[in-house]
Amino acid sequence: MKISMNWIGKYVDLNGVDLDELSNRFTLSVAEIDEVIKINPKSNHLYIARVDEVKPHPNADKLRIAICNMGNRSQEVVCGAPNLKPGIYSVLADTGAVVKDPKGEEFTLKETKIRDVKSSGMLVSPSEIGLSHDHGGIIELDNSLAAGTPLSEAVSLQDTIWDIDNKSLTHRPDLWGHVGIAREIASLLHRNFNYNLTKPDFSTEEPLQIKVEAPVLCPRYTAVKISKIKIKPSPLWLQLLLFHTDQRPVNNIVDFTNFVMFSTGNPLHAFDINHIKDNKIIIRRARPRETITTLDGEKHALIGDDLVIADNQRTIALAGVMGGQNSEVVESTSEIVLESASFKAGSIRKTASRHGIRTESSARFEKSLDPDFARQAAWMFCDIVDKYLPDSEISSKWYDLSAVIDQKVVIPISCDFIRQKLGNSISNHKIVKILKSLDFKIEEDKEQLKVTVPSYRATKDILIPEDLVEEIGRIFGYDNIKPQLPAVKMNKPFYLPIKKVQNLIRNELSIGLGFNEIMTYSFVKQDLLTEIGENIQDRLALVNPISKEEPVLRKNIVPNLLEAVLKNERNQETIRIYELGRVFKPEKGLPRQPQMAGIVIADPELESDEEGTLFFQMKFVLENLFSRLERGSVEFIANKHFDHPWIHPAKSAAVIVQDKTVGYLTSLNPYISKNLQIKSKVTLGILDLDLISSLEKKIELFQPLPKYPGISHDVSIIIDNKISREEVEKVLWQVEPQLTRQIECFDVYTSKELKNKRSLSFRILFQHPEKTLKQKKIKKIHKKIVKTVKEKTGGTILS
Amino acid sequence: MLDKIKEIRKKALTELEKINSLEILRDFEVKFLGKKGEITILLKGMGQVPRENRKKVGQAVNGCKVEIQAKIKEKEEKIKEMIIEQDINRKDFDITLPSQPLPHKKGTIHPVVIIQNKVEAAFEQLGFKVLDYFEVEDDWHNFEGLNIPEEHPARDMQDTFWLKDGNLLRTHTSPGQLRAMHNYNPPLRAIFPGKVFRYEKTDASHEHTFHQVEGLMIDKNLSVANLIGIMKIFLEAIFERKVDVRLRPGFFPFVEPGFELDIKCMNCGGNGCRVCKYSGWVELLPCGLVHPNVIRAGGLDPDIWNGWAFGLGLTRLAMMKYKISHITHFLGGDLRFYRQFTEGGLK
Repeated sequence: MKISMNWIGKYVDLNGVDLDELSNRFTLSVAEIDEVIKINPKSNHLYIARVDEVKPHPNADKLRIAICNMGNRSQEVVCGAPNLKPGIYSVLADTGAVVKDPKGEEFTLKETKIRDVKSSGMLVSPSEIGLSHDHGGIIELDNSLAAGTPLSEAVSLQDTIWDIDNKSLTHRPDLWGHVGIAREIASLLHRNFNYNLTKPDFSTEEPLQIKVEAPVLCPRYTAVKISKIKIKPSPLWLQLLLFHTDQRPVNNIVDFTNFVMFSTGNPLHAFDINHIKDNKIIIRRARPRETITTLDGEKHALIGDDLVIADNQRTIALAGVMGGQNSEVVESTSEIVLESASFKAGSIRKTASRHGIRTESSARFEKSLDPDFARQAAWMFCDIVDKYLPDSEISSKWYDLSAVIDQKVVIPISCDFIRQKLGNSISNHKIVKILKSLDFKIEEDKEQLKVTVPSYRATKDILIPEDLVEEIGRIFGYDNIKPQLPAVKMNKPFYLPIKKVQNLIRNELSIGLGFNEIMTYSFVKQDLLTEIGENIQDRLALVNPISKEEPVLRKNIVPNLLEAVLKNERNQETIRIYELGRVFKPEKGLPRQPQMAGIVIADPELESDEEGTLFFQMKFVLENLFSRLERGSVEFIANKHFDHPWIHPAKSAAVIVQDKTVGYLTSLNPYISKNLQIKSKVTLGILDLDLISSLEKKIELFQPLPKYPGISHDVSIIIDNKISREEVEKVLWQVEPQLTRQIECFDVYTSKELKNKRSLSFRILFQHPEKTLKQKKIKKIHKKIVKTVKEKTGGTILS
Repeated sequence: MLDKIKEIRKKALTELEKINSLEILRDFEVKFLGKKGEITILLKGMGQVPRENRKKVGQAVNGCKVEIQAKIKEKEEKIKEMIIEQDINRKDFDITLPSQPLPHKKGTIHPVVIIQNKVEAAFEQLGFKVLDYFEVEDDWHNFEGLNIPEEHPARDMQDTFWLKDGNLLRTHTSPGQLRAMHNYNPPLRAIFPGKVFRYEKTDASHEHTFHQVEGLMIDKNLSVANLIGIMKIFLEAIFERKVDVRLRPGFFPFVEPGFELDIKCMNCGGNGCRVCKYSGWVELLPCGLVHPNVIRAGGLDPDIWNGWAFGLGLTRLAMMKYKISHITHFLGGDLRFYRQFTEGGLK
């Protein structure tokens, strides 16, 4: 919202105030100022001019010649503005004036010829003399300033504008106009706040019939009829204020309603009374199939929750949002009804968003305005019309239909409470002074205060003692509060098990094993799921996805990781990535949202992975992880059924810890690679971290060191492919269980000659607890190995 | 000529029938369609065909070529399918074979996690619990219980992803305030980091998913002075230097009074520069004293307990620290981004 310091100056004396410092104070105590804009147009050689006559330009269709009355002289200028016509008052920049071209570059006007016609000076648009960005036509003024008056004598063109962040005002219904802002400034500056309205001379006539049929949605409706109005441009001072606050002047009546709205914060609406059937105004909910065409030309189909202003036959305004086209004030309007009302915030917000029209009006009514603002706005409007349209006449009584019961908000609070909440020893005296400066009424009883909240802050803003703490704090200045650490009790040490598991995994993967941690979205793309062959049902779907491509939450961590592989494989480098994150499984109430780990090894360079190198690397990764997690050792079991399309039926295994399946590892199913056009060979390791962290902690205990040396013995066994390493190892353990300490498979050899057999090499450590073993004994054992292996597995031992 | 075409076609089709590997298929393709392939030679020989027959013969050769090409493609698909079928049906893959160590490579931790770990470590030292809460929340925890009723304008500010089951993606980490108050007895001090979501189109500086950390302290008689005190020492721990902070009024329905906390611009030391938009201060985090309605919604008596809370954007902090220009990198999955952050770890 744009706030003009000239406008503020109407209500609080800003003489001698350092505006930069003030804007800083305002940001710290009230609301954030995004930008301070200094308007400083060059006003030399600018004059009020009356266009006496308009002649066609002999050499150009779009240009015309304006003969301008400059008081004691007449001046001819060439002008292309569409709104040029005889009789209007405008601003003429004479030769020597500094004006801006369409790009904003300044240049000095010289006498010139435009298409062979002499033009001394120009009639200007607001943008050409730096008043606003408006360049739709030349400035149009009323006749209150005589032709020939130098602009610099008539008004001050300089202004300082604050652009206040609207979001920082959402909770302050009183700050949506200059009056409210000025009140805050007066309090910050300890200066007087001058805002007095006098009751206009209303008539006693009752030419209108007004009925509020929906008092809940419209707690106050006031109206007054004004006759003998002449529609014309508004005076220069008002146009300047509107320019400076980024509004476009329209005509005097519309500009007056805007001026009052930007002053009091309460929106107004003026109807042309000739378009109100039977002089009847009804405030009611919209009827079924009713429509309205608003001022912007849009037609809206209404529902019963929309509040409308209607006459005897039709809707004439969408209440609090926008007026209807059918009752708009136009140039021929001579009698108006001025509406100044209060509407229910929630209802306005819903209507505005339902019909996609957010206006200055709806933005204000949404904030729960003080119903008394409706009175202030009506009175201010009558005052300004009286001043600038002296021939006009208030031709009705003041209709004031109010369902508001004057409810005072009184908050009892103690000064100690305030001091405690702020953590500062601010005095009782200072507390009372600050509250009074903000228009609060105080009844003091020593420490105890009874604070009556002014009506404009009592609609929702200030209701509880904590709200008053904020008022004291912000005006006192939070900078004046000394930081202080709280004195607290000691806590038991605490560590969430899932966090510990995640951190251990992260350290092992990122630091130990060279993985890159990535994060992906909690959403998953629909076409990705389709390619993978997952159905979209049975997933958490969004009502309003950002894009149609991502309509559901991920149920598994795998698809997004495969997408990451696709994204990175063209860099032709081995990919080692993992993500720790939640997946989402529908359930009654809140979905189940387990924390998962998804680990990927992918190699874009590998032609084929028949040996399963990546698979056994992933196995290595998982073994390492579980050696850190204090949950006991890990086992891998083949041929477990998993219901995911990316599982490779032959190259996959369940990950078992403490007899529970906590995840799986698998080569990527080649059909998925084909469908997604993944070139790399990929292996996945997936773990359910919630499950793992819920398992009992297990710690490997110390083993006494052996007293006598052991002997390592290597055997290579040629054996059928279908017999697993594990089975062979079991058999080896059985040969001499008392002496066997360790068996390690250190080599696997396959070749075409071996056909469907292979060679497995084991290193066995034999050790006796009480003596040193001799080679003779080992030879004996070797014979036994040869025999047992042959009998139990059919394998033969080399050499 | 036509006979010859017929003969070559027949030969090709018979040979193709028997092919069962991609290598042999390549050889076959060269043999018939390569530079000196049998069909290619036929095509080259068209010049010698008498003019009156040329059209007919030409069509026949071309037809033959197109047919063989299609058959090769078909065969290729079949062989690939066969390879896949063999692969997934193989019985000789022994998962019990020993695991294989990975060659050495440099790993990295996600930049948001690097920052998050620092934040967690600092608060752990101050005796704060580190908690973890859901991304899918219900309306009550995300709005209602946080003093944001249905018609409250705050719901405008945080446009929300709604789920068809009536739940929503949390728009902030604040629902954790209510859950923490319900889960643990006061006095309580905790932080809870995590993903949050806003219904927003993405571009260089906007992202619908990002990371925040919420802080909450509940005790008797906590004050604004305490909040400033903790924030100051925490920020000094994170930035590893002296930090000047200031509070100004900020509106958040779940705190009263509510603040925006600014830090003195570290880029210019407060003199004004592009980073701080020449104000000398950078807006860092919203905070405030917990609203009595929220204390009540957390199951506690606001006449006994009060507290303060803050919400800090971890993604934003990472952007500030590493001067990252595009917010979409964080969840974009491009390794060239993640590999740049080599610090952190071992918490």
